[in-house]
Amino acid sequence: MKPSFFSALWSNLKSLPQTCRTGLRPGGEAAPAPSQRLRRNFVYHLHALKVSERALHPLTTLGLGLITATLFFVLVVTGVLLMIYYVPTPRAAYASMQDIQYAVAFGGFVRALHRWAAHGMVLTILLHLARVIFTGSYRRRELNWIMGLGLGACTLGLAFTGYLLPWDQLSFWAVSVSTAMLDNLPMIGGGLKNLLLGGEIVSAATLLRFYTLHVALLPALLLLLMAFHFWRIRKDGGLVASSVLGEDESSLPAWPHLVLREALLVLVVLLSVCLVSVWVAAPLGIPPDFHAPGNPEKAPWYFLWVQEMVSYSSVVGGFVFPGLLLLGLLLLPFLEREDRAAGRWFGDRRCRRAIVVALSAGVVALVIFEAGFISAGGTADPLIRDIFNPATGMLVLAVLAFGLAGWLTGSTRSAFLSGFVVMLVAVAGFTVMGLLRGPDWVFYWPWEAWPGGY
Amino acid sequence: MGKRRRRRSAKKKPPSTAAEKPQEPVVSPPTEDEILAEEEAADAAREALLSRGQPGDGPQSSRRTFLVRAGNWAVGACVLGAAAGSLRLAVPDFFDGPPERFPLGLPSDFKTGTLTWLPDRQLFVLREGRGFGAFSSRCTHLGCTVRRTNEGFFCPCHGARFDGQGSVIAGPAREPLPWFRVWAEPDGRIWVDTGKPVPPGTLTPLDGGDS
Repeated sequence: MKPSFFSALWSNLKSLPQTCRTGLRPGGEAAPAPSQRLRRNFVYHLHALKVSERALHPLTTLGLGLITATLFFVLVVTGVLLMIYYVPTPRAAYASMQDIQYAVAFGGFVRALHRWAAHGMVLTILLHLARVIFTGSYRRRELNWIMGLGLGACTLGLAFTGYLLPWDQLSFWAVSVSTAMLDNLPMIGGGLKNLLLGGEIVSAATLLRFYTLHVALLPALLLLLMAFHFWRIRKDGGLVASSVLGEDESSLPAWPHLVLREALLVLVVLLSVCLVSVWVAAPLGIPPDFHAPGNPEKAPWYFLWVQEMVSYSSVVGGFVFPGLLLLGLLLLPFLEREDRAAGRWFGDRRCRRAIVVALSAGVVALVIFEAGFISAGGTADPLIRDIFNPATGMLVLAVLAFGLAGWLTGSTRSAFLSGFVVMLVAVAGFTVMGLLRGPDWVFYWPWEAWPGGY
Repeated sequence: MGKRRRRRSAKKKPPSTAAEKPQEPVVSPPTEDEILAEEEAADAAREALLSRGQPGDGPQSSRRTFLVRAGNWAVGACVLGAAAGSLRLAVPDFFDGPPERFPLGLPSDFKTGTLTWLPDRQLFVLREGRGFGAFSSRCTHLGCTVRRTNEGFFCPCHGARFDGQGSVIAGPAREPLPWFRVWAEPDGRIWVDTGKPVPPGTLTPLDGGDS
């Protein structure tokens, strides 16, 4: 022990505040020159130093990606808090939900935050997907497009697995019904169902599997994909318009113009979801009746269109329609490679015209198909049901719109946009139809009262 | 390497200075320039060896390429094997669900000409005189429980309709409600095997319980 040891320790201790100020700076120990100060900030791992004025305009992206990421952050924090009390066993799950809802301090609020942020995230990620399609922002971003679809799949998977966890009447039967759809999948359907449920029917094994997927596997996957997604945007040169079009746009420094706007948006999102959660409690249904479902028993809004379609035909509604939609989305950036008007909402004038035509044709066709199907009464012949139902009809119309628009305009982008618009009309229409279903799966207008007993 | 050697040579001849060095006769310890040249040559040889990684460059490089590829494939196979094993682990080999065959009760528990619903078993039991039949109350569309109506059965989830024997009348269901084999055990109780389907409407005559 030399005296220099103590003196060194003492002098280090004395300069501790100063060392903390410099040593803990994200940029490193040395005081950065003013010109370097920007580069050393973590923000510039995400953003370029300069951004175009167009990218800053709120209507360019609507900030949907950032809103989605913010909601995911809310979901992680509230999800961890809920894990402190939630017990994933059939005996205890519902009771622990009641504890969280009624007994735990701030439990109801945190649960509401988790529920509404989850609904919000599904909504914004779907809108984000639509934004990327309608602005043609998938151009020259094939890899990130696929990553984005993976993020969408993870989000829907999280929403679906989270749906079972309250273990109330609705969650039990909704998951029973949606997993039963796997039986219609040839060859691998049965094995996939066993893998997911841990058995033939929804049971204790299912609850544990869904819980594991919900709190560990899917969030980890989503986080990885999200980091990759953000990094890729930066590597691809920011928004499509500036890089693909090579426009000579006046650039502004990302700090403060972009970063402050983003911070503001994050705050607005946090405030909104908090306000909603204060005013509207997350619903908790009656304990599950394993003997019989309620009447009607509806899927959450983002799966209502699938439920409506499987009530026409489980094969077309459960697999053919969603499968072809997914296939079209996967192939989109590989088959549609037009640079003209990439990054612009709805492309050029021809695209816009094609979209308007497809939209009108889609709405008219949907009304005709639905009216025809309902007035024909529910036939039981499976072949007739599979072919002559609104879902198959809209699918055929989408393919027709795709081919016709491409043939008439000579543009792959207007072809894909037309087909996509018809599919979108179908999905929105089926969702509305699903909302209007009442007891015995019969239509009731919103102002009509359901018959007694329900 | 070079540094250490230099130090050793310096120890051997402590009085010698830098100016004297060039005049010394060439003996065992090599000079600094020689060591540097030697190292440079070794570096060049190593780089030349490393740069010859392209396939078809010669026997040695093709071996290198092969080994690298084999290594990559081996790592890939290990990852795939681990993934497959993890997936296999998740496939259940045992089920904690209800058993396939179980007793329904005594014949006298069911009145003749009636249909009894056993909610825990998701079964309907039909009795006509001495004939007993059992069929599922699970909708063949997507597994909801059907309810009894005037015409037969109705599924509230997606509107499938069945007649009194479970045949499809309307709606999205494709298959009729499945009927299962029933039999009487020596102790008099009726048993059912939900793993053994029988044609719809099958009533098995059983003795006992003429209530």
